[in-house]
Amino acid sequence: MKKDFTNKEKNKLPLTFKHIDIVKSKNREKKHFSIVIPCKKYDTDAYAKLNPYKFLTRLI
Amino acid sequence: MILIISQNNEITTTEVIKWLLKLGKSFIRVHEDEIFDIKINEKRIYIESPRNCFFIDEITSVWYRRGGLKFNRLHYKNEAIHLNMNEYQHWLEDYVIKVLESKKHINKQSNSDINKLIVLEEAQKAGLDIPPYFLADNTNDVILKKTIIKTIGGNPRMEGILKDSSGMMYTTVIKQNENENENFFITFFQEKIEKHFEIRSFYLNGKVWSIAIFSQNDDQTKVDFRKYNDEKPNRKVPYNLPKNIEQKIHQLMQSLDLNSGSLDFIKSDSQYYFLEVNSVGQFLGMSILCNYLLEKEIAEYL
Repeated sequence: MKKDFTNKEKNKLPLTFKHIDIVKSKNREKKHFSIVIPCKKYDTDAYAKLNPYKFLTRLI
Repeated sequence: MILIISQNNEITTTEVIKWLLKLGKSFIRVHEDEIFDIKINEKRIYIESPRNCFFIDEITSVWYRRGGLKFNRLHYKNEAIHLNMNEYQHWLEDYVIKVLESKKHINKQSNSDINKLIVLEEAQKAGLDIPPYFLADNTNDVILKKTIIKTIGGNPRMEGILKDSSGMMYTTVIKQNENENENFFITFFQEKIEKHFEIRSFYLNGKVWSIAIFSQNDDQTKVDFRKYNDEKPNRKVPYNLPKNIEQKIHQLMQSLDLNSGSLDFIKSDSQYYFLEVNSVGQFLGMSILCNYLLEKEIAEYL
């Protein structure tokens, strides 16, 4: 869905603000929320425990 | 010791770390929300955060991926002392960052934010073809349906522009003129090139790896391939740019003082049009699809 934000501000905006695509906030983060875990080895709180990044058939 | 300046949830960093562990290299990973204090022990400078503590002379190489080193600034009651001490602390922080950047590194915190307009000028100087562009606050000189607009800012995404929703500024084709009597804020216009396919390249220290993205046959992706079609993804294949284009990329990256980055091109007939460079761009997808092992290349260099 496109939305025009140029008429909602007192000051002028670039034309790009007339063609804003509305997307869900933090969509990606929510999608992966349940599959990330803290991982000391790689020093991150967001290690993806699922989703092997290469298809098994490509590893054979 | 390798210093990695990144973000907690940055997936590419984790993949590079896997290779560092495999290669037996030790590393320190700094997250985007860490605040450091600068301290001295026996005339040696070390920096300390709740997660990390290290002497800066222990660091042998630095990978600036995303985020940045941030420091705790002390405040003082007396305004004059506060101003003076603010500058004093700035120089100490500047010294730490500059010393770290003088070591073997991949990109630098101090110049990772690059100006898209300067990049286009430098690209022209390097001999790359770019679609003609101009800045304007009206559409008087715009050729309808043959001109695109896009942001000159670094991030096309605006989180929370509406309740529970965000806004994305994708590349857009101009189909109608605006009111002649009402100007808008200065906007970037560029000639729309009819592309055969897009090319994304990853550059590291003079080497270039590329992927061709066939986005032109899908209405959803043909103007901006970042409008991903998840149900029917664009076809992507490994691609070799001509050597002379790769040399020009090298020249451009040297002029921007970047030794790593992702570059976007479009191919139209026999011409390669340079669009932009992203110093902190995502390249993991390309690495996996094309078996380039770019994470290994980075780990080996550090």
